[in-house]
Amino acid sequence: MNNLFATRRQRHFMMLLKYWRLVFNDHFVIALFFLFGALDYVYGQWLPTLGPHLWWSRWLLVIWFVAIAQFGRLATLLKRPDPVFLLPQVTAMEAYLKKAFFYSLLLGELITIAGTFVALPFAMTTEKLSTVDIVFIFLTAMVSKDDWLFTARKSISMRWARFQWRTRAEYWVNPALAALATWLVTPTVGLIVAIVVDLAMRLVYRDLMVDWRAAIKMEEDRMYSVYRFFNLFTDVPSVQGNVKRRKWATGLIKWLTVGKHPWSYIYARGFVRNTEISGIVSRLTVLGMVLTFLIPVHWLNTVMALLFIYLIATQLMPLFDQYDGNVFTHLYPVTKNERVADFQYLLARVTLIESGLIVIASIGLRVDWGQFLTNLVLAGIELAFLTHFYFKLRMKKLSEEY
Amino acid sequence: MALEVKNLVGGYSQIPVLKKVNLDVQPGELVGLIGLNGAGKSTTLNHIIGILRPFSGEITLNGLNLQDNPNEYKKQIAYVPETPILYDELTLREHLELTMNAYQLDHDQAWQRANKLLKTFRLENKLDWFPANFSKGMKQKVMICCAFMTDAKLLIVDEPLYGLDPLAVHDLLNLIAEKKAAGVAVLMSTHVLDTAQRYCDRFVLLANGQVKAHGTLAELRAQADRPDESLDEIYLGLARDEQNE
Repeated sequence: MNNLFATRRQRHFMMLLKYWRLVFNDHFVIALFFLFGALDYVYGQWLPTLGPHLWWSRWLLVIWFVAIAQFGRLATLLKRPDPVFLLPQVTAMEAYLKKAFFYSLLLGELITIAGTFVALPFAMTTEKLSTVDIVFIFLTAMVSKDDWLFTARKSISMRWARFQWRTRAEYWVNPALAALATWLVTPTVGLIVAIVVDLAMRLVYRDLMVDWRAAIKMEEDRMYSVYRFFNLFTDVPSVQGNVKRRKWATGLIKWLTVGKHPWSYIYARGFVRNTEISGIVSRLTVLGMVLTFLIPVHWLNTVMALLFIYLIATQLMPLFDQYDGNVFTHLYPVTKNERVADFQYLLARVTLIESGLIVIASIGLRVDWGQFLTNLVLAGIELAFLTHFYFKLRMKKLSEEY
Repeated sequence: MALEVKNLVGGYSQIPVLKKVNLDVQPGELVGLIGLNGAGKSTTLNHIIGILRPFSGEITLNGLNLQDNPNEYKKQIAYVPETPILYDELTLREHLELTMNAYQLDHDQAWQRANKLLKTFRLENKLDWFPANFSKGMKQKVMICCAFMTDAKLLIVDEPLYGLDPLAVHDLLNLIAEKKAAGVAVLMSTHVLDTAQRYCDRFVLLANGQVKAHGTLAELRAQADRPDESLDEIYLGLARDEQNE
């Protein structure tokens, strides 16, 4: 029992390692590096344009510090059969969860420190901060994270699991109190508030015997989001996505379907109704629209637009063989060429909508028609390239794997 | 001659599961494919529907084979799998429409047939539901509706009798009888031997990837030299002999 958490953590690491290796093999990661590089560049360009007395800068810092407290969840690594097999181990479970808490705290604090580092250049531009202030800001963020994880820990106890709304409020209000005190009063007061809140939480919430149902649900939700992240790069068997009817999209489905072609019929419905694929495509589109709307640097804006169109196209590709496990897809009296053509049709139409939206967004607040035209022309060329040349290349790679 | 399988050797990997299987199904005939778990029933069916490629031997359907005329060959087959296989993203109505598109059926006529089938299986008010959330028996009914709606000349039915309620089993057997009357060849694999005995015209008894006996019940009785016994007893005798060998 004593080693249970250590063994599980090790196995968890091995699993993560396996997926990370796949992630770093994907083109997608190159795109992400570009994205982070671009964001960093924009951040660097933006800072010198800021004056010292902006009404909103402190509020932005408050929002940032409340937000970073939300990252890094409580990883208990509990599994569904545990309540059956570990039922008699009440005291051992306390120790297990304590280990899980410290493990999560370590990761959470690393994320918090990284998030604080990112905000620091902004804070030092808009505020006058001494070295002591900066140290206190780091400590406040770290204490807030400890408080956040304790909130998570008490929310999976028999006694407190029922108070879901209270827990949800505490996740946001507690870090907010500390952040408000830091940025609207002084960092010293902020640290004091954070410590007092953290101690108060530990005094109020005692008797933390584990609530199995709540604990397992929380862990499964967490693992699901981890898997969903990896699913962006590779196929994770347990992430299939849900299916939603989306009656309102019937027109869109019709527009994406070719006549009476069976493959086109499946692809159009699969794309629109599977929350996993349509979700990632629409999230990428919105993100691409926001970035091209905001970025004022001409060339960078175009690079972003093209990058996002490429990302969306690559995220659509796995839909091609999504249904290979279904024996009926092999039974239909339809040639392989027709299937490839039907998928190409869907790919062309979906990327056309997405890139249209991104190109329109690139007009931006600046109403930059030159930008719009550049993006329009280049996006058109890219689309032709993606739906013909690149798609055929992927298909060739796929058919070689068979 | 509808379906003819000659000297079929095949399986999933390099090792053959089927060793020279011969069988045929005539138009308007229901042939029962009988065998223990692992005897090679589903493997045989998978070869016929074209999921697996034969190592050697020949499968022809009304003179066509899969290698030379894949589309024409596949158009003649409708299949009800052992475990229901459905698309998560399609409603019941869309499963039917997809089948019509795939088999290039005339939509009006096909819908007439489909509506009759849906009524038989009490599914007519569930057209806009996602069958992926149905119970096993209801999913099986969806599979049956899709297969029986087509005008395929060969129906392949893999172990249909489990998971269906008694009323549905009865309805299915009636449907098979209707198809037979229309000249469709039906090949059905099953373990439910008393039902098979009553409804099948002929039997193919498989064991260890080989056809151990075939023919009508009377022929089987004569071959086994057990004139009064049921199919169940004949098969058990054969299976025991097999184990003792």
